[in-house]
Amino acid sequence: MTQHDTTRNEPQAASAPPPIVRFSGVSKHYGAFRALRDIDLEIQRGEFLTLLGPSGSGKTTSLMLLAGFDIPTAGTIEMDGARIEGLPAHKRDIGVVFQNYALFPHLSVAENLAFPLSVRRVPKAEIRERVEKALSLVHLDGMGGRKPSQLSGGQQQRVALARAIIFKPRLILLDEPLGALDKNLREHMQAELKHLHRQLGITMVFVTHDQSEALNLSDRVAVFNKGRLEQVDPPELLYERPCTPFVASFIGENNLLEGRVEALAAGSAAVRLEAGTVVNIKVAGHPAIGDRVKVCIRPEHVTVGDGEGASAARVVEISYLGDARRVAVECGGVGRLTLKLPTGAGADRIGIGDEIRVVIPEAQCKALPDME
Amino acid sequence: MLDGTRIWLWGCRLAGALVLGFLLLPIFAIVPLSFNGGSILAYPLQGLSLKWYAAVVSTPRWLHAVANSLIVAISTVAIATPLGTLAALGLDRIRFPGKSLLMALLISPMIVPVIITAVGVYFFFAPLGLANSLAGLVLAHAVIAVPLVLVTVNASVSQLDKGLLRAAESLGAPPMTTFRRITIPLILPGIVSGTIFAFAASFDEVVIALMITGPGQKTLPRELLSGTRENLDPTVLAVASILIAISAGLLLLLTAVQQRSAKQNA
Repeated sequence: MTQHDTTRNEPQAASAPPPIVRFSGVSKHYGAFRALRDIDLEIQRGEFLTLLGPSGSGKTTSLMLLAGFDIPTAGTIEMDGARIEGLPAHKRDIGVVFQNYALFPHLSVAENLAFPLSVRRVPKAEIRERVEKALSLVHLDGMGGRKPSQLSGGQQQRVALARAIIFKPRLILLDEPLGALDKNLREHMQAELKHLHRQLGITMVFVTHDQSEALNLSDRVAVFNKGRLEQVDPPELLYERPCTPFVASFIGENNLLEGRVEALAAGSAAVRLEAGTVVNIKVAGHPAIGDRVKVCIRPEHVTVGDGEGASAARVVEISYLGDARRVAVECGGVGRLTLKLPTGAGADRIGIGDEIRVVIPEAQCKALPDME
Repeated sequence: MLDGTRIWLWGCRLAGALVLGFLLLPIFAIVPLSFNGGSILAYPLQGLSLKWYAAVVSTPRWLHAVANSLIVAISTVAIATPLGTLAALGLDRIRFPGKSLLMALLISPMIVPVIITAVGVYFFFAPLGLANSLAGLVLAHAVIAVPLVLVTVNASVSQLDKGLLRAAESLGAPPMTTFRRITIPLILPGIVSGTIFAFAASFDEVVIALMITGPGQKTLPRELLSGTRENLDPTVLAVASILIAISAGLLLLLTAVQQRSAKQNA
């Protein structure tokens, strides 16, 4: 598996702070289903790490293992240097915000917030004080007496967040917490979450299947697919330098063209696409001649025009996005391509069935190992 | 079209009222007679009087029967409620083939005719010296009552959001704390309903009581039965009316509990 995040395969530099959590070779099987396969992952102290992937990719399983609701089939999980994979959840000191909030319906908001403190035998006066502080932290001052059922979805979300923060856990896990909120509220909560993270400096691990949410919130994103960890990197690197075809297509839109390596030079390769054209492009990893690769090019990088290396294409589909048009073309020698053309730049005149010429800038193309 | 629907609606209401009347009239026929001034069990009433109620309160054998019934019902509840609750919680937790079979086995006393249970219990208890004892009656009633608790608590437990238990755990609560502070309060409506059912089942039960109890352990329904056979006077009706009042009270309590829990979950 290719990863930009090479530091974790090398000995820790003396100056680098130790990670707060380390997954080493963690696997989880449910009968014949392999939910997680040999995961290595380090979570840095204070970072906002998102576990991103489609449903069933292993991101939630990883979270459950970290929270202590399940035990890995193989591998070890360390927190602050001590192994915790067998430690019961209530001894882990990890705050969890659940997808459906999981607020206790028979307790008031204040009692919900007091729960983790009272099980830790915090004195009553201090509990009252900390509950007040937590309520104002999430802008719910004066709501302590209400029952969860009397709150809106967004307010319940804040209570769940406050309850996970109030006992000063070592880290906070968030399991798709914004999934049930409508779009405006979700964006608002994202901003608040980011703000809270900065304000408290606490390590947050966030699970989502929404890539834009992941890119918006995270210091780093770990992309899961079919139980494997595909890439762990800051959002910019994920978008600009995906390491696998899956990451390339999951983070933003991408054209993936099948091909085979024909010749190799330093850092680049000649790849013959299935449709016939040969492109000279950058390669990731260490391919050999004859290897199958996927050539990826972002829709916004393909342009219309008569420049160098332009090829003939026929427009087959157009969808209007507001600020841009997504145009699908059938391109001779290349295959089906999607273009994203900004509104106004001549794209408005293109219609379905038109014969146009498109330029695929080879500098923006990248060949990724085809692991399917 | 609208008229058709309306006729249909009123037809349903009429049928409902008839069924309700059929079910309730025998009860309402008894209650006024218990206030009869005379001693004949027939209408019209010969003036109103509470003397039959006074007779109940002043007759030792009725008081003895009431005491026996209360002792037996409360003891039955004390055994059946914890057992049924634990069984419901345990069955909810584990997954294994044959689980539904075990469930069926546990609730079978509800389905088996009471007379079969009664005869079985009698032959089982007699050699053990449990026949003709309140302890034996309590044990036999517990057999009938456990399924009632199990079924009602099971309904509550299956509605319990298991995510809440995980949440409590993640917040630092050890299993017993989670059980005490989250599980029990949330399934309490089921436990209370089950307890009411168990109490009512024991308090009204006559078949097993006939088999197991001797003259010293007569319960209220048992005494009532002998009363109707031996000396049928309005005292029996007064006792019956008291039993009806208690049952109705329990039913109201049950409804109140269920409404409260429905409100909480809303």
